Amino acid sequence: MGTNTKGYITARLLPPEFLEANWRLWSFLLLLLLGIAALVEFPLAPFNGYTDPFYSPTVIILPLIGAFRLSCYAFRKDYHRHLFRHPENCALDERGDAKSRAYSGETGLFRIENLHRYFVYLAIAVIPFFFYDFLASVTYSGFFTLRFGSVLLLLDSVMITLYVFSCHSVRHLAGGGLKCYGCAFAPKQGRSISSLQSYFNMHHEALAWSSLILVIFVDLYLRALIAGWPIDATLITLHVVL
Amino acid sequence: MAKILPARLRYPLFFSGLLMMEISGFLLKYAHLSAGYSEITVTLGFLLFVASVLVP
Repeated sequence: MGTNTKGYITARLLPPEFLEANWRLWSFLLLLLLGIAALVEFPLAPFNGYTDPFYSPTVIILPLIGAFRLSCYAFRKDYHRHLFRHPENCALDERGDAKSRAYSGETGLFRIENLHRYFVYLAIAVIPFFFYDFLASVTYSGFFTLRFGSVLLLLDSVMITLYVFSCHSVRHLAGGGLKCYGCAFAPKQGRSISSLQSYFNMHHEALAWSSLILVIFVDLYLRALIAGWPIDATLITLHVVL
Repeated sequence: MAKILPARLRYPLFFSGLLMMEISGFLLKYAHLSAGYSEITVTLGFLLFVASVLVP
């Protein structure tokens, strides 16, 4: 590799975050690889009408969902602050250590973060599968049977829906055509769908983490059921043939 | 997010929690860790992971 090529790669493709000695980055990549290996190594087939959200509709699309989450503004804030530790907050562009440098922003590989606006369509396309899984779980016995696992699946579906539709990219879609928010030139802004979306957008970070925690919890809950834990109480049974 | 724990704990808790969950699965399969121990470590790992969210 010539010096120029190497210089181009380090200067243009790899942001400084990837070239610094940082145990957090490499340990996170290890976590990511182990997580992918675990999902492939320990697949979870549908059990008693329940489908694991990691495998719905298929585990193959997980890299795309992962790309959606990794390019999400909420998670970006987290990994820049806690993984790369730079910038450590909005007002601190330069880190106060010996290798102080300015925040590199969306340069090099981080340009991928701009694709979030396209990944959101994939995330929206997956949402109906989660609600279908809930429906399949309550009609599994032939009657309407609401079990605790079904409630978890419904909660998970709702949280993921709120997370996706509170996305900043959806905010752009919902507020399309508006040049100014909350000013005299946009009198309908106050009672439009974009103001509702703005409300959820304010809680986007909380929704992002809550939905991720719920997905992992539902996965562990289903694995516990398969392991024989007697925790799946039946809440409501309606003898209506479905 | 909730600001309960100091920010410096966020990544160590996140890392430890997820690593415990993942490693215990592999140990269960390849090192014959008992199912009981595996369930305990997964539960502890999940609690650490959840705790990591409770920092700014």
